[in-house]
Amino acid sequence: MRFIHLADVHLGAQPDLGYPWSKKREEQIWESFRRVIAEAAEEKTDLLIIAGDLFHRQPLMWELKEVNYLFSTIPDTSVVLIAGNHDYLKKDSSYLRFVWNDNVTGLWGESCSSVYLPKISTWVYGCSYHQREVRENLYRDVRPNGKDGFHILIGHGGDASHSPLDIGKLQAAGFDYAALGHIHKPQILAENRIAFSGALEPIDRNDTGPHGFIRGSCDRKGTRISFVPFASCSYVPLDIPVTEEDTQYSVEQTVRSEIESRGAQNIYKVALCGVRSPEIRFAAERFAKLGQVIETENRTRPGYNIKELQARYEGSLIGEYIRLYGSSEDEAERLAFDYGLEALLEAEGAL
Amino acid sequence: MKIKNIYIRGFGKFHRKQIECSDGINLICGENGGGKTTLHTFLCCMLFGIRRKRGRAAATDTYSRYEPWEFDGNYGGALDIESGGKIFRLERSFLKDRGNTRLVCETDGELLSIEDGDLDMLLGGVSETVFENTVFVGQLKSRTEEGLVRELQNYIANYQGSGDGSLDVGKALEILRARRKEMEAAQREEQSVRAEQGKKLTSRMQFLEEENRRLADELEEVRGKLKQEMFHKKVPYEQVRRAKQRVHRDFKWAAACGGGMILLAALTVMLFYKIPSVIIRIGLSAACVCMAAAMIHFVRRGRGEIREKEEDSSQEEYIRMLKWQAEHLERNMTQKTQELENIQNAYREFCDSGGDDESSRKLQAVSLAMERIQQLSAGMQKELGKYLQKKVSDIFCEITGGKYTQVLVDEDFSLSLYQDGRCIPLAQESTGTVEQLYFAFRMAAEELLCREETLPVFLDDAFAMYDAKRLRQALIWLEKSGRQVFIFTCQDREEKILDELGISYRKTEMTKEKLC
Repeated sequence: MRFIHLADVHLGAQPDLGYPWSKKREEQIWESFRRVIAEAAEEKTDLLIIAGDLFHRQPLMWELKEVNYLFSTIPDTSVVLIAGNHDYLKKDSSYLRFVWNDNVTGLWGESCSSVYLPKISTWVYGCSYHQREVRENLYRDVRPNGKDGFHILIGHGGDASHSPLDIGKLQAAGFDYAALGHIHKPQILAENRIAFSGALEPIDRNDTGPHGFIRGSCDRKGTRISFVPFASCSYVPLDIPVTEEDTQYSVEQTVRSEIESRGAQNIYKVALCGVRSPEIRFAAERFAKLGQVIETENRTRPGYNIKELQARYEGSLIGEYIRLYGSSEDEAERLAFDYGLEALLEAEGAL
Repeated sequence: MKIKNIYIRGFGKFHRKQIECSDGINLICGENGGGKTTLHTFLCCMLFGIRRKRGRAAATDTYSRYEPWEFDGNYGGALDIESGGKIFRLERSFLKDRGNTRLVCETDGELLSIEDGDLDMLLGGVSETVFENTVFVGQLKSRTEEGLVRELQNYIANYQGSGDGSLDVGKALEILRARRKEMEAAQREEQSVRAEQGKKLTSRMQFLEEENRRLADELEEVRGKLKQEMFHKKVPYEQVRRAKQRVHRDFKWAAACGGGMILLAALTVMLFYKIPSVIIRIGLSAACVCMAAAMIHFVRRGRGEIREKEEDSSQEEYIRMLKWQAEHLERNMTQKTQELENIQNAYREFCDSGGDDESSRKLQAVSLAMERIQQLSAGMQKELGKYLQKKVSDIFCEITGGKYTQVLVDEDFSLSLYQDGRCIPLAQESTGTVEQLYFAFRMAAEELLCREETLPVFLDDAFAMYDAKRLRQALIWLEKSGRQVFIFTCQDREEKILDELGISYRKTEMTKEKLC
């Protein structure tokens, strides 16, 4: 029995609202979902598991129709889905009124229930969110029913206000596989047994690293899973080391070539690190024009020789300023110190 | 601390040059370009080390500017220094890779440690900035009287606010203020882009709200119509059902009557002659007629009711349509409400995510820096201001031969002099007086800041604006103060007056020819 496990697709999300590529990202999320379905069709996948948050918000009828159409293109694949904290089942949720294809099953119960898929002799367990937050562990008491076949749990949560999980107990429960959703970072919690597939596409700038789905199979020998990178772009933290030799243009050139080599489709979080020449002042807004740069953080420090400066200005305001504030470890204080020292030295004519 | 000997191994134009110094007044004469500034820089570098800038700025720093013109492997020199009755030798090589400093106490033959601060001790803990702000006296740069007064005023203001005559705290704050403004503008720009996006969401929200209202109105209307129709409907639903049944029954009865009649008629015709009694014959015929009449009656009644029902069913069709409409509107409204709710959530999240932390963090940092500098400056002003005014007055009184008894510095640093019980604004005084006051001020600052060790005084053309009388008084004051004095000059006035006064001095000539 071969399956695809995906979660946190967040259809309808508009990542990076206000940035020029926001619309494109919104479409990419839909497109990625369509590609997964095509992938399932090609691989003749037996089971498609969607572990919650298929939609970013409450699904609308037309959205469900689109999704249902896509499901109808894989009639030989059983689709089992649950509602997560984003698309939770509120009172008049469209999920409940919608008439799905024959191959689609929604586990809409508030506590765990199971469905048997005879064609692949598989039991699938799971439940759905009925409100935004669920503070108790939804999966504490659920166990495989002991009947013949494979037993797969679909879960959603993993933090304090969204069904905190006990991985040890979950492993002990004895499911052939626990397909988890909610945490956007893909991670395998127990080898071939428990995994977060992670979000199919990164949803915001904090979702750095690769994204995709989990492909797996169950047979007599057990379960095997592997992560499949699939997202059309990723958020890449780009730390640019700066030296005192660097200028605005030289750093821009570095950023440009880094973006080129890592792919222009990605979205970059540029951070300038290291020591800059004291007279250089980087114009952060110019880096935003070099590609899909969502933020530029200037963490460089001016390359003053603090000891030398202190010796030189001992007994005057600058010396006193360095003595009082120059050794702070706090980042905000250090930034303030740098600004002040720069202004003082500039006023003094030393720059 | 006194400088006994200056050895220059290689520094700028100087090459293997030795200058012996006296403990009192040293007169260093030379034309412009003779190397007075180089000598001053050399002394500074010897005492405080040479500063290297890093990165691209290195090409124009002090190190590069004073690299020996004739390089023979030496860049640096040595000083013999006397302090506390002992002789020390300070040697420095500024060379990039082999640069080193040695401090030896020649009296004890002991090698001292620069790292442990032995040189700082010789200098009485005075830093380079304080040194340059006090004992090194040049000429005021301005050439107009008004400019001179302003320059002196700035110097005092700067000095009092920062202990550093060339640091204008106000300017530093101005720089920070400009920086903050820049950041705020950038932040506003950023916010306006975000506001644009926010507007898109709110206008979509507005549209959906209006749409919802419209749908609600329509629904209301349809429901109203429905109610009305139900109310005005001539026959209630139950009645219609019953009427239907009745029609059905009527037709059944009609059929039954018809059947009966045909049976009776057939019977009558067939048995007409066999029936014995005329009365029975008549009776049977009458029964036939009655049956026919009854059939006609039922058919008629049934037809009538059908006509009535037909009217009703067109009305019912209408009601069904209204009901369907209402349902459709309701469905539409639920979807629109859902979409509206989604967008409201999106908007809320958008607003919450709002604002770049980075830029507000920077703004806070700039404000914090300003606050700290202001505080420090205020503290220094309070501390320095008090003593300074008294000391300056004392020295100034002495070097003007008691002509002025007091120097007044008011809150906005405008200066005035007290003479014969009258207060004269400094602006009315001559250039020479301003220069004198400048000199007095620096000497006062030296006494304030260099308390542990009396340092040599370097006067670089400081007396150019003095007339003979004032020069005489200044030299007398210097001699009396017991300091080691280096007077750099390009004139012979100082020499003449010193000769006249009978003050001993050591003269070093510096001419272009004798450079090396």
